[in-house]
Amino acid sequence: MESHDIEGAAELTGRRILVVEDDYLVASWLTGILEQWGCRVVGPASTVAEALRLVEEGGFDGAILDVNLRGEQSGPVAETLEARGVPYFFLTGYGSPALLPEALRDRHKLFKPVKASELRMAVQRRLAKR
Amino acid sequence: MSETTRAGPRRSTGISEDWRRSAKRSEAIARAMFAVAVAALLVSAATAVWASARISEAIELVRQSERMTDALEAILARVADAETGHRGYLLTGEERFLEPYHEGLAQADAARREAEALIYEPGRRSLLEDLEAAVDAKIEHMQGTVEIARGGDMDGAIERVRSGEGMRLMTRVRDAAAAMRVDARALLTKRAQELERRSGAALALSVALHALLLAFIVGAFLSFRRMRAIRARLEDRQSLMVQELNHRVRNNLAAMLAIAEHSMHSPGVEGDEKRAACRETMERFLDAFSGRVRAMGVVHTMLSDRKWDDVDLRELVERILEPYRSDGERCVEVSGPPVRTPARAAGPLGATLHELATNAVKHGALRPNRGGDVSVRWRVEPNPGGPDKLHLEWKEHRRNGTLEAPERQGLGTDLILNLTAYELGGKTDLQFEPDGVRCVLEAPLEG
Repeated sequence: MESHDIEGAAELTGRRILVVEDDYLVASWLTGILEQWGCRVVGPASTVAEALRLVEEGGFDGAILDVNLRGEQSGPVAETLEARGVPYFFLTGYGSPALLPEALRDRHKLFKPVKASELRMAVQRRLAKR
Repeated sequence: MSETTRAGPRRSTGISEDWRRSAKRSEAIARAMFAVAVAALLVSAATAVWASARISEAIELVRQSERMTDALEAILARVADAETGHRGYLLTGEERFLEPYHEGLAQADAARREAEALIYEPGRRSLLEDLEAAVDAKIEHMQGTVEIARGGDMDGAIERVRSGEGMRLMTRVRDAAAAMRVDARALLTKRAQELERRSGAALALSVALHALLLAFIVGAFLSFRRMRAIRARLEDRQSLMVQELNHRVRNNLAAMLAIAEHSMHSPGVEGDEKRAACRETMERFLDAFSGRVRAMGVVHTMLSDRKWDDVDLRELVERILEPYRSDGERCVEVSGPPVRTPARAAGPLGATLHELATNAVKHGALRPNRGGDVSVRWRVEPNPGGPDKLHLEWKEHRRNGTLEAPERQGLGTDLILNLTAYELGGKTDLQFEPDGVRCVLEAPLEG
C-alpha cells in the first residue's frame, strides 16, 4: 500500500491472525490489508460465540478484537486468549474503557478509525510469533 | 459507525457528576432518616406497651382501694349490728335478739379476713392491727356483757353498758376504721399523682417521637422530590447529549465528504499534468464514496429520529432510494406490509439497498435514458422457534438489451452479497437474470 509495505514484510509473512469484528466493512478491510501484508487471517468472527469457537480451535499466533460485538462485549474472548497466552490487542470505537472488565482495561488498544500504518505497527509489535 | 451508533453515551461527566453526588447524598440522608424513623417507631411502641401496663396497674389499685373501703364499712356495719342485737337482748332478755348479734359477729369476722387479704403493703398492716384490736376489744366487751346477762345478772349487765365503756370501744373502732380509710385514700392519691407524672412523661415522649416521625416524613418527601428533580435533570441532559451526539455524527459525515472532495482537488494530490488523466477516476471514486456516506447518513438520521428504536422498512427503502425515484423516466415500485425493522438491521439493509441502486444506475435498470423498472417487494415469514424472517426481493426489469453477469466483483457486489449475512446472520441470493438483476435478502427480524 505505502512504502513501508515492503520493509518488514518478512516478519509478517505467514503470521496467522484471528480477526474478531462485527462490522463487515471493517472486518473485510482488516482481512484485505492483513492478507496484503502476507498474514493469514483466521475468521473474521462477528459474534462472541463464533470467536470463542475459533479460539477453541486454535491455529493462530495473535488476535485483533473489537470490543462491542452486536451488543455483546468481547471480554470473555480476551480472557480466554490471556489464559492461553495468545497475544492480542483491542480495536475499539469506544473512547472510554469502562465497558471492559476491570482486568482488561489496561490492555493495548487501537481506536477506530485507525490508519493502515498504525495497524501495521501494532500487529508487528504486539502479535509477535511465538 | 457500528459502535458509536449502537451504544448511547453511558457516562456523563462534569455538571452531571455534581448532580450524581447530590443524588447520592440525598439517598444517604433518606436512608439515615428511615433508620431513625424505624427506631422512633419501636420506642413509641414500647412506650405504648409500658403505658398500658401502668394503666392496668392503676385500675387494679383503684379497685383494691374500693374493696378495702367496702370491707371497712362492712366491719363497722356488722359490729354495729352485733351491738344493736346485744342491746336488744339486754333490754328484753329475749334470746331471739341474740341472733343478729351472732350473725353480726360472724360477718364482721369475714369482713376482717377480706380486709387482711387486701393489705398490699407491709407498712399498712399496723393500721389494720389497730382496727382489729379495737374490734376485738369491742367484741370482747359485748361478749362479757352477754355472759353476765346469761348468768342471770341482768342489772349488772345493764350497769356495764351504762358505764359508757361499750360506747367508748365503739368509737375506737370507728376511729381506727376512719384512720384506715384516710390512709387508703391518701395512698390512692399518691399513686394517682405518680401515675399522672409518669403518663405525662410518656405522653411527652410519644409527642416528641411523633413529631420526629412527622419531620422524617417531611424530610423523606423533600428528599424524594429532590431526587426526582435530579433524575429529571439528568434525563434532560442525557437527551441533550444524545441529540448533540447525533448532530455531531451527521456533521462529521458531512465533514468527511468535504474532506474527500477537498483532498481530491488539492494540488498536492494531483500533479498538474496528471490531473486530467486522474480526474475521471477520482470523480468516480468521489461519487461512490459520497453515495455510501450519504446512505449511512440517511440510516443514522432515521435511527436517531426514532431514538434507536425500530424503523419502518418502507420508509427506510423509500429514503435510501429517494435520489433514484425523483426522475420521472425511471420507476421504482415499492410494496410490502408494514415491517418494524430492528435498529441493528437498518444499517446493513440500507447499505445493501444503496449498493443495489447504484449498481442499477451504473449497469442495470436505473441507467439514465436506457433504463427500466425496479420493484422492491417484501414479506415477513414466520419462523417457528426463532424471530420472524424478512424476505425482500429487488428485481430489475430492463426495457432493452439483455444483462450479463459482470466480469469482476466490485465492493458494491461484495457488500450486497455479504453485509446482510455477516452482520445480521441473514442470507443473500444475487442472480443476473437476462431481463435484469434479481436479489433476494433474508434477514432475521430481531433486535
